[in-house]
Amino acid sequence: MKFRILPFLLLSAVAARGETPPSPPAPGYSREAYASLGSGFAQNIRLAELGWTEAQFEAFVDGLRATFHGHPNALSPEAARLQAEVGRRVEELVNGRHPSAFADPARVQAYMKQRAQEMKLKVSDTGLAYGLMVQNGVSRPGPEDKVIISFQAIAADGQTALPGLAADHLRLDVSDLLPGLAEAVQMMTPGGSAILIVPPELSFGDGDWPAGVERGSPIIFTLTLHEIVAAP
Amino acid sequence: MFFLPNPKPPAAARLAALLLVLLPPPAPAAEAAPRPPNDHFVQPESTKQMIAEVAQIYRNSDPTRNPFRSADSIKLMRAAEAGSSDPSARLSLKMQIAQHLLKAGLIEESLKELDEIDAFVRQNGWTPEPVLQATLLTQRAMCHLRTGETVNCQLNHNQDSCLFPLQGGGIHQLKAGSTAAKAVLLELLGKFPGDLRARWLLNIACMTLGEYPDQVPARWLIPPERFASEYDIKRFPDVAPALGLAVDALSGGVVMDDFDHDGFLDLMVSSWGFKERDQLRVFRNNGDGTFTERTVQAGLQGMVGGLNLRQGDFNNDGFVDIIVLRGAWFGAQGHYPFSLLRNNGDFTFTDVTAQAGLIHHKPTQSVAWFDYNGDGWLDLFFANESTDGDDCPCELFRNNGDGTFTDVSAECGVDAIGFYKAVATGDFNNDGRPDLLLSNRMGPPKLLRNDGPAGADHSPRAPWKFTDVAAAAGIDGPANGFPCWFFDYDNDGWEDLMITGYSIQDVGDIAADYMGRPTPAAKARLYHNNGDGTFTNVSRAMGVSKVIHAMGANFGDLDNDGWLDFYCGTGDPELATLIPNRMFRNDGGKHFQEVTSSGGFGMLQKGHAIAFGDIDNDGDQDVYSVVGGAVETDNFPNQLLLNPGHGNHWLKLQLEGVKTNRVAIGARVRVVVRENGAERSLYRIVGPGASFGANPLRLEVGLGQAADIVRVEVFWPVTGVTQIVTGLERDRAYHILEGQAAADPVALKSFVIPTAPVPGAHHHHQ
Repeated sequence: MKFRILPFLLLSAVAARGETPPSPPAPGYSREAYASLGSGFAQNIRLAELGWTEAQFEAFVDGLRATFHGHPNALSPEAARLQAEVGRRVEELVNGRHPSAFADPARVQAYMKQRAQEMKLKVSDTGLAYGLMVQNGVSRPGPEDKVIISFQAIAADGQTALPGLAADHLRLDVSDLLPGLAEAVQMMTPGGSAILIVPPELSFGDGDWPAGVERGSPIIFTLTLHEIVAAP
Repeated sequence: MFFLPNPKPPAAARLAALLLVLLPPPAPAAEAAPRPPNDHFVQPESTKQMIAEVAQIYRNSDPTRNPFRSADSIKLMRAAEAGSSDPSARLSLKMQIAQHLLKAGLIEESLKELDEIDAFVRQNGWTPEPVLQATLLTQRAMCHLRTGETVNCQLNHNQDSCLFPLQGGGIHQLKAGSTAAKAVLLELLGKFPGDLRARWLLNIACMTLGEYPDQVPARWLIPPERFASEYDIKRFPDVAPALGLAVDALSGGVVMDDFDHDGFLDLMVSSWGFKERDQLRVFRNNGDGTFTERTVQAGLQGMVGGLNLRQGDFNNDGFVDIIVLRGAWFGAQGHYPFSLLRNNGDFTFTDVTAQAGLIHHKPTQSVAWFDYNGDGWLDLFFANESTDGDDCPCELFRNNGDGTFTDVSAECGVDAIGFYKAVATGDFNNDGRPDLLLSNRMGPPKLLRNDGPAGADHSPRAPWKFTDVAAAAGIDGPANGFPCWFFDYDNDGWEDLMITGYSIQDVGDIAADYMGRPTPAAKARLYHNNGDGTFTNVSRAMGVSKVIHAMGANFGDLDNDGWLDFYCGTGDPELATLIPNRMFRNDGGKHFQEVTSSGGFGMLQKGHAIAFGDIDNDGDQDVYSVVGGAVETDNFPNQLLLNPGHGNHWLKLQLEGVKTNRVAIGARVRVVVRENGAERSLYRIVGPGASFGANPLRLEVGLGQAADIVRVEVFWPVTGVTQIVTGLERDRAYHILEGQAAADPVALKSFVIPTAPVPGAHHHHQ
């Protein structure tokens, strides 16, 4: 948690609008000590691993300097986005995780659009991409029904199996399904199957993501509806 | 914003202005003066030849490849069944026979066939699959429902008949049909409780019996609040029967316009069949609350087969000519010619298709009149239907200005192949050149931006360039589209786009959508024009992301509040697709409110072409709706829905082009009014509206509670000039001639159309 706060504090300095004049240097410490403090600070936020260009770093230092001299730059909407992105990145580096390729919602949207086109899937109003493959039944389940379903999932790379997201003949309420699966199953009839690309907001959203599933990533499901157990 | 100074004047407009001196001038204004109807017109040979050719193609067509010729198909299928020893094949044929018998109106025979199928299945020891069971029971229920509809809605028709949600006079007096249907549907739902098609039909059956909602089993009830209107628009009573305008035929088109320049809106109505009942009909508005059918006197007797109609003015004589479109949906069997009917100005018409060089045989139901090259003559774009093994590219015909046309499709790169169901024109980038929007039933839409001359030659006869910018502009659906149109729904000066979806598994998708459940059916798309060449899909935010399943559509202003509303004629050839036409009121450009129920717009029978227009000249727009399906017995009377009035102000503008085409198609108008102390702009474009159904070309603009009209700006696309007209008064009609500073007042006589009492109705003339 402390690491999460550090970049926030640091980047907030860019936005600070305070009238407070620069503090005088603390007495009794050498210049080298201050330089060392700066390096430690930068190491804490994994500055060297952020992949900045020299020009970006210079701009960052300019911001520090401006604040030091009492003329901080305002936190523009763009800077706020940068702040959030750097925060995420630092947290991932500190926690030993690779950055999510889907941290950016625009990336998710682009992925969904491209994959849906490649796989010739329809896209619903909610953003669910789906293809109904076999539909030989008559009844469709409603939101209050129970269903017996099987499903398997693979990661957005289209190859990595996600064994934690699989079930065979699972009986449960439609309302308890992930939103994307609940939406899909209500378009199906018993004996039917579907292929789905479920966007993150229709799977685990802002909640806890299962181990081994990249947070914020779309998930590809195959879903079979075996039976509807009608609501009483 | 097209009324702001353009940084760069439209090149096409500048060029066209220069080149106009080389082209034949439009006909003199005097020709457009009103003329009395001609009672002694003799049908021309060219019309007779067209009638004969259409009849011959129909006679020679193969009924087994035409799903709409049920009566002809039954005999052939019975023979095939008798000659087959394969039980599965026989079962398939028997089921088709039962369906065709119902479609042919032979309900008792269809029920008998279904009994035989049940026995046949038992004899063979089969256990029917769920889909087969449901199909047979649904078919049986439909036989009973059709019986109820026939003896109540058709034979004892009243203005509540088949108006969804059914109530009042819509409740069946003869209940046997719906009672039997209800029993079958309950049996079906007992077997398949989640069958949404059966659930929908059960709710309909119970409505016809007066048992809805209380006597619908709770688990299958679709609650009434799902059908409630979001706004009370007041009931629009159907006055078509009383006026003799309730043409009782199949699916078809309508043009509402002033054919003889007497100031009253007339009607031309078609039916897509090829029998006597499917006669193209024309009605003259007598201006006194009566109409006279003048089909024979107009020289149109025998003209059939039109699915859609569209008006323009190919010879610039000021009288609207009409295209009759044929062959749609028939695939390779649909190679019929369309007709170009020249309006002779005396309420007679002459088929000049051959004379104009337009004899082409391609299935199509949508055409756009537009002046793509800015030469002052209206050209034609046909959105044709290609099917497997039968490529029918779209066609662009350049008007040569001498009564003939030249096919320039290939050289202009617009010979697209697809199952195109609609084309609309507009100018989405306000560059002065009309663009095209194509809606594809089997693929994504196209937005063809008109880029002007393709090469160094800038004359109107040079190859022109159109570029499909749909994907780049953010237009990515629906993948199964039908009617489409340009309109400026938020009055920001940029034309927006609407494309309705047309793909359902069955009527259960409609039920799912009403109940707020997911459905794979195609939904309508509304795209907001961002003013930078791109669009944003605002369907959900604007309340139109619905399974409307529209075929016909048009837009107008129901309550004269200055915001454009739209109405969709819905349905498909399946008799079980009993779904309401849908009306949506534009609530200040911020949301579309469904007003289907409150206005009495929910015609359950098959809806097609729609036209908005002030047929009684009382200031508000009435709505003509073509009703009737595709199959032979699915006829139903058309409706004229009379506007009860809403107390707002209005303005009518008849534009006349001089350098621009005479009827001013494509001219854009900005009406600036003062309302509540502030200026407000209303943007309109001259044209017949959406792709299926044709509004009058005169502009009828609702002004809301405007205190006065500040000015009217008319952008004439050929010259690129914006003409400013002032001194106009509210609640008046004017004629505006291109280049003439002042508008001429036009005295329009209004009249009263009597209405039968309808609960809650209040007819009000302004």
